[in-house]
Amino acid sequence: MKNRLKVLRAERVWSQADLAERLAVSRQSVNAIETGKYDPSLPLAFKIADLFEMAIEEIFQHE
Amino acid sequence: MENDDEIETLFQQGNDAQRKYCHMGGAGNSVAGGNVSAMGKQSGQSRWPRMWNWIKPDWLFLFMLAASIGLPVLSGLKTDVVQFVPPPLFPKLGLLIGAMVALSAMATVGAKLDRKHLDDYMFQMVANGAVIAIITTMLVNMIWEVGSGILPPITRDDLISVMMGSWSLGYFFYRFRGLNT
Repeated sequence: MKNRLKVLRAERVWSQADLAERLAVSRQSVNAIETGKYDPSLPLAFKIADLFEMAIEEIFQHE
Repeated sequence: MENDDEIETLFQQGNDAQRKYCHMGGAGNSVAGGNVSAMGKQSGQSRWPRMWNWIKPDWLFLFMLAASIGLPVLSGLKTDVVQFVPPPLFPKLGLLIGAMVALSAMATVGAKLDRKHLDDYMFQMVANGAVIAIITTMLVNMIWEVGSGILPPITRDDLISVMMGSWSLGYFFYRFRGLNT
């Protein structure tokens, strides 16, 4: 699964720690999602989509 | 343990002015929850809990790995008593089933607490490591059953150390390689 999390975060000039805090997860989780080591659970994916005010499929794309 | 991207480096180098400007919406982007002073304060306050949250499972599994190496050494110093007379079947079966049901219920509650307090990524690494541990322990037991007579006898402590060691190795495998490998 590909995702645009890194780009979206960079657009807002947020650090991984900032994003992790907003999502109430660890910074390692954010790093793992961005590097493709981990696909987030559906509730977390919805949380990310809500935070960026986008649809899930605009952030996550199936390879 | 992980390589952060260049943006993380930029932040670590202290590009605070730009960061605060952007947090206030200065870069033209709408920022959700962009209370700058509160954010900075929260970041400082939650750094230690976050770091603790990061370190805790790693140290726990390092300890388990070390213990898994130590247990066979300790168990090598004593010998299991060989029981020549089999215990009565039904009381033993009842005890085993009762213990299994009660301990499974306890483990379920424990896992629920873990899921609640660890974040999803950490929980998945712990859970996937546990799957590796179960499979490895069963395979080791099976190999020793098949090779009984050829292989040196295996004790309960040895099996527990195999389980702890393979759980730790499974955890660290996913920690370094990621859950999608």
